[in-house]
Amino acid sequence: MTRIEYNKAVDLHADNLYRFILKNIHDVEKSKDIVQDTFLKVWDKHQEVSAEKVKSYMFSTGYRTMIDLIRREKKQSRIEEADLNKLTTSDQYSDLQKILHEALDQLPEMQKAVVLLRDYEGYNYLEIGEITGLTESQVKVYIYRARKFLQKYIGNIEVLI
Amino acid sequence: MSKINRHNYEEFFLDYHEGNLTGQQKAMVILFIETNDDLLEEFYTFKNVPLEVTEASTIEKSSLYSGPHHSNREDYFVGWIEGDLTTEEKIQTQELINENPVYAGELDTFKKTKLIPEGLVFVGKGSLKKTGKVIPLLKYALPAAAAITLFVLLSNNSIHRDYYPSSLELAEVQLFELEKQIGDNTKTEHTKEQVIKDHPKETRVKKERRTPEAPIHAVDKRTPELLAFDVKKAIQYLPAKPIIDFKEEVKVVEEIPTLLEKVTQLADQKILGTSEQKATDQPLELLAKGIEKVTGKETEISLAKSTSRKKIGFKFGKFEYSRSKRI
Repeated sequence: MTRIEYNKAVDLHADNLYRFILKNIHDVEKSKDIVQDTFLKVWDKHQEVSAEKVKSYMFSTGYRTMIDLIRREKKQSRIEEADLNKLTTSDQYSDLQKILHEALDQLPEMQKAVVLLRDYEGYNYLEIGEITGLTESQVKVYIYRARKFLQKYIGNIEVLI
Repeated sequence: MSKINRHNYEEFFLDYHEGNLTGQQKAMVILFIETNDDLLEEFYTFKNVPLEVTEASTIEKSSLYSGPHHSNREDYFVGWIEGDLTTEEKIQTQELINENPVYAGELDTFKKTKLIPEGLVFVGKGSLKKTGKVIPLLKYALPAAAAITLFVLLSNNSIHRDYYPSSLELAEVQLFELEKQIGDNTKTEHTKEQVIKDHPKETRVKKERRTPEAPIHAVDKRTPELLAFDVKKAIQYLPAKPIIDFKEEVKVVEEIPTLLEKVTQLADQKILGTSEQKATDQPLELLAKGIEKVTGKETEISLAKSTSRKKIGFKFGKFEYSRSKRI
């Protein structure tokens, strides 16, 4: 990947990576730091990474950097399944996407990450697996579980509203 | 949990290895694998552990039918929105919904779980980009080049070459060559009378003892001249007069006061004193310190005594013509 291709990748993908990280950790400054760190790592490897693979490599690097940060700060959720009993309602929720994002935040980190990669970036199971280090089947399971949880969450909210 | 089938088996495989299944569910998974042996390899990808050998399951095989039904409809609904269903499976799922209209709302809710990307923007993209400049080279090469250049300049004394050091070196080299050539030859020595004859009395300088606190007017502007005569006189006492071109030598020596003036102008107070007060009143010492100050090289200029006569010794930079004793 040439310098020009690298800079083009910045233009094309920096926003996407930033959004992905921010949606996961909800910290603007740390998200920026992770994006910066990620692109530094990408540039370090720019001679080995092709322009076609840079987005996947960038997300993979960003994801690992984010997970390292989460582990360092011991904020990683140990909950494998979100507790639906914790569902609460609020009059402020009038927008479906807001509700959905609240539900998203209650997902285990891994499920949240794969859903974001799926919906925001349009990655298939295999690509998400390459980014997150999961098998294709594991990605599929996590996405299915996440969908079911999100569906129940939205359904409950809609009933209560 | 629904029954295992080819559309939801991954979840069961994962739960199996994570220990989340009951004994009955485990038996169901094993039975499923037995009847779908093409999935055996995938089963192991979830965790590479040996498959438990169990007795025949008591699960009703009728519950393991394929296609969407009440118990596994959610998997089909997710498969629908994820685009995982085949055309045939979609038709089957639609038929299930047609038979149970309440499922239509359920499928709609699943469709709402799709996140819509937000227009978040990373503000600092410019800082991520790389310019044409190679930063590491700039970072290290320029200081290195500067250091090398400075070293070369200092080594060659080129910074101050314009006005003196080369001449001083020349004088030293000449003196050194002189010393080498004459050795201990005393046949061509000049007597003190000859020197005095060559230089009128008015040009000779009486040595004055001054206190270190002597103000500038005690040395005044005559200091360079005094120094010039000191040096010149010392050279005259050298035994090499016939060998050395005296006029040329004088010319060289005459440059010393010029240097001294510049040194004095540039010198700081602690080393050389200001124009109002000298730190020392010894011309040679002043000159030596001045040369050190300007050139950055250790310098020693001293009058020396050789058996029966005086001569001047230089120690300047790498040259060491200072084997003579200090007076």
